[in-house]
Amino acid sequence: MTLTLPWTDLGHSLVRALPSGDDRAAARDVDQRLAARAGAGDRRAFDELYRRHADWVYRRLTRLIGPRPEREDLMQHVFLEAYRALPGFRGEAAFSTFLYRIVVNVAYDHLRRRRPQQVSWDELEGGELGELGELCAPGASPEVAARERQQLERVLSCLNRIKPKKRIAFVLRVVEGLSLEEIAEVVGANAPAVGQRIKHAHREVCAMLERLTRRETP
Amino acid sequence: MTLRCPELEAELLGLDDASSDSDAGAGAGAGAGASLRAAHQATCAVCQRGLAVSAHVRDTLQGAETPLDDVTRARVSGRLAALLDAEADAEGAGLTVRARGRAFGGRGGGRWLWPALVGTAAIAAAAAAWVARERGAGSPAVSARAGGPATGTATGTTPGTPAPVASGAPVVASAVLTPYYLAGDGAALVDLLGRPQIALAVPPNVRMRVAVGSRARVTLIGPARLAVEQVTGQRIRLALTTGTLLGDYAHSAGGSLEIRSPGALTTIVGTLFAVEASAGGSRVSVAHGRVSVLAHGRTSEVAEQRTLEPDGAAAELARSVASALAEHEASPPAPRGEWGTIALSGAPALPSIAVFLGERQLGEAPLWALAPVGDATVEVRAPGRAAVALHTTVRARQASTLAFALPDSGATATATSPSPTLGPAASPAPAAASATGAGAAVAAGGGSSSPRDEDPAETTYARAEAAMREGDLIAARATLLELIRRFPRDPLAAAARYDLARLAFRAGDHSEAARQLDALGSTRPSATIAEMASYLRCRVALQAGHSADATRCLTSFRSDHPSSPHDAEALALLAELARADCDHARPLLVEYLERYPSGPFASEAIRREARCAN
Repeated sequence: MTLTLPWTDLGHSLVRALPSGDDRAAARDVDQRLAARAGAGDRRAFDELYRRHADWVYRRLTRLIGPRPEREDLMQHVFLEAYRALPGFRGEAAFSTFLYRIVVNVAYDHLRRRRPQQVSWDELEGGELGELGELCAPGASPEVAARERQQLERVLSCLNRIKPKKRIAFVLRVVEGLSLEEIAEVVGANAPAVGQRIKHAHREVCAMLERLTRRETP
Repeated sequence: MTLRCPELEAELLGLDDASSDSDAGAGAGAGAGASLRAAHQATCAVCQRGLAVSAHVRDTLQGAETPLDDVTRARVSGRLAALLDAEADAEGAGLTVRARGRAFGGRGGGRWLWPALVGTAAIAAAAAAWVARERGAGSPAVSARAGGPATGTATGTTPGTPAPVASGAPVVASAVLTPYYLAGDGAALVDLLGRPQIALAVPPNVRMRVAVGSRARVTLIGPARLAVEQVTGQRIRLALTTGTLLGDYAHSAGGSLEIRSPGALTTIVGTLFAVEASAGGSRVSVAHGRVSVLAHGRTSEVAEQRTLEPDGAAAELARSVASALAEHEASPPAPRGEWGTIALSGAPALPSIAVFLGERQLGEAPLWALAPVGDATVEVRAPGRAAVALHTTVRARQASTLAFALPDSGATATATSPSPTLGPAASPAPAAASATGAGAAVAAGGGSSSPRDEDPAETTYARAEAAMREGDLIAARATLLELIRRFPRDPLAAAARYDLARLAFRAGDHSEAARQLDALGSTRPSATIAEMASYLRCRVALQAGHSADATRCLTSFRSDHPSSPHDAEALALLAELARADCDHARPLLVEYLERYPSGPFASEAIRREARCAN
């Protein structure tokens, strides 16, 4: 199965990273050729793959793990893993699928290792997430920026409390817009299991947001 | 309120037919089609709230994004290139084999491979830890973590498929090198602590202690390169291509430790030993126990207090080597159980300063060391000065940052700053750790404007970055020039050239920016940096007021790099340059709106396009 990335759902962010429209097939062909050359040890081809996909990987990591400073290291790790795995890449799947799996695996591993144990809401609300300002619209008024920051902090606080497997499935479905089958392909699970993870994650997020709202309501 | 409704879940999962689990509450019957579902959702409060939450999460995360900035892109590109170079070197020397275990390509590749590998390795590591505990040896705490999916870093090489391993042996178990202590200019390596590796490159002026499996530990004195060559059960073979290794090994039945170095294969029987590897050959020394060395086609036994020279001659153990071995032996082992990181720095930076953790000597400051969770006292001693005792509580996977200032005599000064940053094992966050901890003090506080000829390229670049962060552009420029002078062929030199051009551009020095970009172009930079440099050149032309040049440059840039992350901005700039000429501007505006309908220039583009249409 070749994963079809949700180009339209991801909007301009992905379009900026990769060509859109009719160029997509051509871009895929270019990727496959570059991947084949890089797999044979051509460093310039790998460099070109990095250039083409660095932004996309960075954004995926931001969505999957949040605006953590580790994203830079994780991005490096993603491409390192990709380089090491490229000799085994036979081109039957799209390079983007191949890369997506690595991104998800790296993110999963990171979340699993750093997942806070029984973190209290107070701790989560106390700026543990850090760097949120980076993600808020540049140039926005202080009020708008503060509101956006608060919203982001709430969402990420909730996601941080969900088990990594559930969190990843949920983000891939709700934020990335992948289908159950595509998620199953990326994470290496079957679709019903992925569905269960998404449902449970959704319930947990709903309950947590509701709880946060209650706390904030005088 | 429990948000459960089969229609909500069907919508959430993108199912055509609802198929919720049995605990579903109110809602329309399962199996309703999409249109019926829409009608249901219009009246179902549960669905509306649930979908609102999903939309809120989606909109929040999608709406709050910033693109990868050029500096980060270049930095990662440079580090990646350096790491791949190091791996290629090791591979060329027969030290590593390309990983295949994580390849996902092709049919049936969609397995969640890491957890499987981690699980396998965890079983192996747990078994190793149990064996070690039973035999009362080694440092099982660290080895128990072996096989955790380590993260790649600038100088560590993470597990892949090992060199020839017995059939059925766990693949990741070959990552048996777990650093647990760093001293000297090791700030850039902090994220290696606690992470199993298959290869390590230790820069000059760095001392690193590494647990090797569960029964051995070594101190590497940089510059040094060590890699795992083979792991079969408890039999480990390492390759030391260069540098000094001080080691101790607790022999076990069925286990062995071998070290291959230039011209020699040393089999460690159970001893305190040293191997010094260089292009001229290997020197093997023994303080306690014995080793056998295969060199020059014959096997020699090296007895206690003796050294085997590269030419095969035997000699007395040198006092300096004996002293270093004694220090290695006296140092604390890798912690068992949960651990955190202690980062220590301070002034003055005297070589005679000794740091103790409890009763055992850690080494010299600055240092970074894994320590068991709990209260810890670090004592800093120097001849002729009053000792300083620093108290801290080490928390699991967190960094405790300590700083000291040794008074000339009498009084003591104690400073303890709890650091909220996660430790390296909890998160591969060298940037965060070094930014807030002692690492930053070393990297930046070491004097970003004072060149240090012994610093490796990575550390030098880190100093330049620190200076840029602090706004000290003069120091940043000097450090970047130093990097280019000392490491002209290092991939970071290209990043440094780009940074110099960017600094000049920001300062409005267009000729200097252009000069640096010309120099960068002549070095055949990576595609990533070449692309960024091309775009910067266009911006330099634009800022210099050379509109025609800027138009040509931007047009050429878009043609050469159609998928560049700068394409939207380049297109907007071209439209801006053609502002007075609707015939030229309009196609650009239309293209912008087609390609980037949500881009920052979109609303302006709509306005201008409408004006041109009129």
